[in-house]
Amino acid sequence: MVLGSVKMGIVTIQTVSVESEASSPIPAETCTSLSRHVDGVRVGCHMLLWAAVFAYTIYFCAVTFQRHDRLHTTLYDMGIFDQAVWLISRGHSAFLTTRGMHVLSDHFTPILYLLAPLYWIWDSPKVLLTAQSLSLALAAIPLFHIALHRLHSPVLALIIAVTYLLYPPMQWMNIFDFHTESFAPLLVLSMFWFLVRSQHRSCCIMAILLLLCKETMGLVVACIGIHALFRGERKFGSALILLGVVGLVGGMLVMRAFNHGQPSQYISLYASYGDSAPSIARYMLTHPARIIAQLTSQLNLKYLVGLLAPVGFLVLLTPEYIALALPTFLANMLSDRPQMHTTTYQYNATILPFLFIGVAHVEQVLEKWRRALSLRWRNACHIGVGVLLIVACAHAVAGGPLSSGSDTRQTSQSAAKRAGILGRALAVIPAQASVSAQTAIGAQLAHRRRLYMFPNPFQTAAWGNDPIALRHQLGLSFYALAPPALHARIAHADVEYVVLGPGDTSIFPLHGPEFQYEVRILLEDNHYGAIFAEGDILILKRGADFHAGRLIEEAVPGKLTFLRSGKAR
Amino acid sequence: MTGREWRDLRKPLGRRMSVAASVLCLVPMSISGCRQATATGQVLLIRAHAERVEEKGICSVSVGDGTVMLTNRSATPCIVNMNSDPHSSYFYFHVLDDSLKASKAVYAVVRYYDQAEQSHIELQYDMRRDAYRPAVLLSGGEYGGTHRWRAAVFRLDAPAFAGAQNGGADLRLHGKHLCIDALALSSELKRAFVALTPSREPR
Repeated sequence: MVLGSVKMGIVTIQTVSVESEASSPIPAETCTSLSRHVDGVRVGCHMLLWAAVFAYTIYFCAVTFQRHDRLHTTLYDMGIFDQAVWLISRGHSAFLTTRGMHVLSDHFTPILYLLAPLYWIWDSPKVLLTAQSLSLALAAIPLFHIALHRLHSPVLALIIAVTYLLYPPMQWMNIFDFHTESFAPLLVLSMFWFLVRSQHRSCCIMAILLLLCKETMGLVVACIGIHALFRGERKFGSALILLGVVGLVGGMLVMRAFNHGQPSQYISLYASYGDSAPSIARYMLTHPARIIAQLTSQLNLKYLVGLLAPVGFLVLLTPEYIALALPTFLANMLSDRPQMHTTTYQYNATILPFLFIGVAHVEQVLEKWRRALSLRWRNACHIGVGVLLIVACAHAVAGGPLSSGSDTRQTSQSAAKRAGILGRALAVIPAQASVSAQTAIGAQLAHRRRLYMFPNPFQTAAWGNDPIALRHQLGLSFYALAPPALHARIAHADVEYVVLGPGDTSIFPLHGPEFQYEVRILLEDNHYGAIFAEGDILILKRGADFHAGRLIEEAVPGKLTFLRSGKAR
Repeated sequence: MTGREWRDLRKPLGRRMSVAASVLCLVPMSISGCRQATATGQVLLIRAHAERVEEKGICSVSVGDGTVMLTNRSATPCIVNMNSDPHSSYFYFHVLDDSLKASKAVYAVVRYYDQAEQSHIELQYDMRRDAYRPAVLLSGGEYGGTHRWRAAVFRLDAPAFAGAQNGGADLRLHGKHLCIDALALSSELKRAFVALTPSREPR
């Protein structure tokens, strides 16, 4: 039978054997009433949890849809995943012209093949945005159960689950286009929950799904296997470690095979340590001082504060769970890519489940301290954790996407006007046509076999399995071609339409002067003529009347703003 | 395994881990001392080829006043600034290779096209507490309007290369209508010069 006690707003549930009930000094009526109250609290917390999950999903679906409609999603990365799933759903080869490589050579992401059937029902990138928001929201359910199992307090478990839903790094990840890593929190937390319940088969299914999200997920599975070993589940733990290693190595080998035997370009994210995996490992082992300096750099400390402050640094009390996220922490903190040292991208997807599992186990540590110090109020730990989480979370939310951020402040009037222009512009381009598009508008055009991010294919930028492509993403190593060379490339380019604008959206991977130069050369080239110029959007067509196109461009009042100034990257 | 056993297991594990960490740190530290000595003489290089630029341990950085274009001068591939204003046109570079960061002095050899008059090339690098420290010009660097390829040699004392310049760059070149064919950095001047000798690759 389940008994409960209510103190200071926190409900504690204790399991009492039926035999002890007879000798219990508590009257039977009180027991029944208390039990009903406890059940009521538990049911209420479950309902609130589902309401929070539902509210989160609806809100973030609305925000991400709006971002997409207002051109705040980008070809790089929304368009890449959208094109991949669309190609798979139509039975085409998944070679991504947006990225210059096969989808499985960029990252090992077979989960996209499982998402493809959804495009048979609704042929839109919003399917991916919905799946992402829903998956991130549903992760609160296993987290709630893990916390409830550990804390025996539905109210505190609910606070932890809601803190997760309000966690700014998770929300930032949600609104930044779509990434397969977004499924990791749900799958990792589900793995953990099934591990706690010793449901090994379900845990394995979650592990396999996790391995399908990205090649590096093998490390996460292996870490959970190590955790299982420490729990005493030696056989299952070993099996998970083996599965993780197989997933990691297998994923790498598949990527290598799709890259025609070449290693992945992502090794160059650690180029400052070496140019191959062995040389990087050797450097790290032989230069510990440099590694420690890098790990403790100002950027990394700020990054850690950004991750830990929204959970009141509580997870520092349970370092064993931080240790499970250590591979991802190290990968991010040692990377040469600045975005990996921030809380606003998808790189934290495999860290945050462990942070929250750690938070769910904090009470255990506090209880140990309370006993050691012979303190009385048992619920003080609960209250302390709950209040700290609420305060930290509220503080974090103030600086998160809920309050500041989602770039959706465009007025509805201007948004409607732009939507009208965009609709007319996109209607000009046939469904099968090959297109080179500026990154923001390119995300709207990904359902075709040949879509390039401008200035591709006229000049290669951030394209292909090449370390230089990664450098282009960071604003490095880009050299514009001289006019004769660029005109020659334009003459032979296999692209029917070029779509440019609007001027206030991203011009990634170029900078203002580079973008203006590339556009100017293209406009001077008579292989393309303008067929649409309205607002800030310009469409050029191969073979169209060049001189008539000039007249169309000149007819636009105030000229096209993106020719004068491109938005900073 | 119960929670208590888990807690008990953590104690000896912690000691073992600390011993292992000490060994892992001490052994490589001694090796790294040896490696520092062997790392000298490394050459970082940027060299323009037809329609591509060769980059070894150093790369260009695109920022507002430092966007560059690959072109030709006297049938030689070279890099020029896209900015038409000669007073605010720079070439920014980011050092990817760490081997030169510990050097007391680094030599930079730049091959440039002498097409302007009464001017000279400047190199500014990221030194600790001074992100735009002017490098010491050892040789060349002047413009005489000869329309020939010339070399300039700089010495960079105690470079930090910590990415404190615009766009995270570590050094930048500035000059009137600057057009460069190659840049080599090394802690040994001779090696930097040797690296700039024309390669057999068609350019």
